Amino acid sequence: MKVKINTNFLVNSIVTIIVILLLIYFAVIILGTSQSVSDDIVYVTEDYLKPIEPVVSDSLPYSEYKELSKKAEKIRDLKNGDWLHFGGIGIAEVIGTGGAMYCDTCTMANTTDIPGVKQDYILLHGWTLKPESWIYDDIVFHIENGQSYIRKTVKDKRKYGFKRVDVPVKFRYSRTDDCLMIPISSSLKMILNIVLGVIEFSIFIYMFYLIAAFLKFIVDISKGLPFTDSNLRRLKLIAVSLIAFPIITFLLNYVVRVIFNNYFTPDVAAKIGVWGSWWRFMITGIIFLMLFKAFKQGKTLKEEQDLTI
Amino acid sequence: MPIIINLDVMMAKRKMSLTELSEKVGITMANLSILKTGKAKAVRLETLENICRILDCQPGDILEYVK
Repeated sequence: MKVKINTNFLVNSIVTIIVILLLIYFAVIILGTSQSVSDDIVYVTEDYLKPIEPVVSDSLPYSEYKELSKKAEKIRDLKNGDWLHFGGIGIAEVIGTGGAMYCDTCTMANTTDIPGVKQDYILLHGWTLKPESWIYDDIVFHIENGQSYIRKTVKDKRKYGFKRVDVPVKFRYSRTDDCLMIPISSSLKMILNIVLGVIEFSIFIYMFYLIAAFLKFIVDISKGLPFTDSNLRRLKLIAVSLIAFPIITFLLNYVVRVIFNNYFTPDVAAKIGVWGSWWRFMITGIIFLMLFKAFKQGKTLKEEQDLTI
Repeated sequence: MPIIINLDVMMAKRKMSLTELSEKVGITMANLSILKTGKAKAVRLETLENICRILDCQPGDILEYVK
């Protein structure tokens, strides 16, 4: 059965839905501010865990304080295997390779040479640690004696409150790239570099092909030949690619999630920034799809016109 | 298409060549051959009028419907 949709009805219903959504949005803002933390939550203030970084005394002069805290940050990056982060090959926002310097006991006394050993990683660009929420503090990643931990807030059942705990995890986290890292050997990295390099190169070529197709389309229009079969094909290809790109990236991120399933914990979340930029591709793709439909109609009309004697 | 264009029959009766007809009717050779081979999707009444005038015939002499 073919459903007939009246254009006026469609536009009216879309406008109504937008108005209702706006009303809900404002209602949530107005009513949401009256929420408060209920009284039975007791915050545990005492910290059983030793601090991750050595505490820099804040009674020091500013320059000294800054220097010391910078040094502490550097040592932390070294301990986390995330210092002097060097990139590798990667497919945008899905997976990549990289490396960094790792040293567990370095104190950075000597600043002239680079301390630590090189550690290679697979970078999972689509995944990061869960951001802090209104009730839980942020999750802090740190490595002690070669074992990765995340420090997070959990519910303390005995005391009816919250406490900070260190949970051992298998993955590593990069502060510079804000993504998860899986430690690998250098030979595996070489193989991955070749595979990813080939894929990245093909994507690169494909992108150039799409740009060339678009330029040819513009040239054809300026020549006065807009409604041709090749133009229709180009428009369709551009539209499908633009719409498929975010969907494929999204799916690939979940394929990565499945492949490295035993590295993942509930504290890992999909990166919002990655998801956020995708609507541009979708909208551009939809516009191209509409252009394709319009040109298809145009081609039919032109054919009819040409065959009218 | 069940509509057949008998332009060549009429042209043979009047002993008129394709070039001559196209010049007199005022349409291009390419369009006339599209019409003759039956690829045309539509015929303008104006064109039909011109052809009928030049070939001195009725539209029914040129167009025929077969089941």
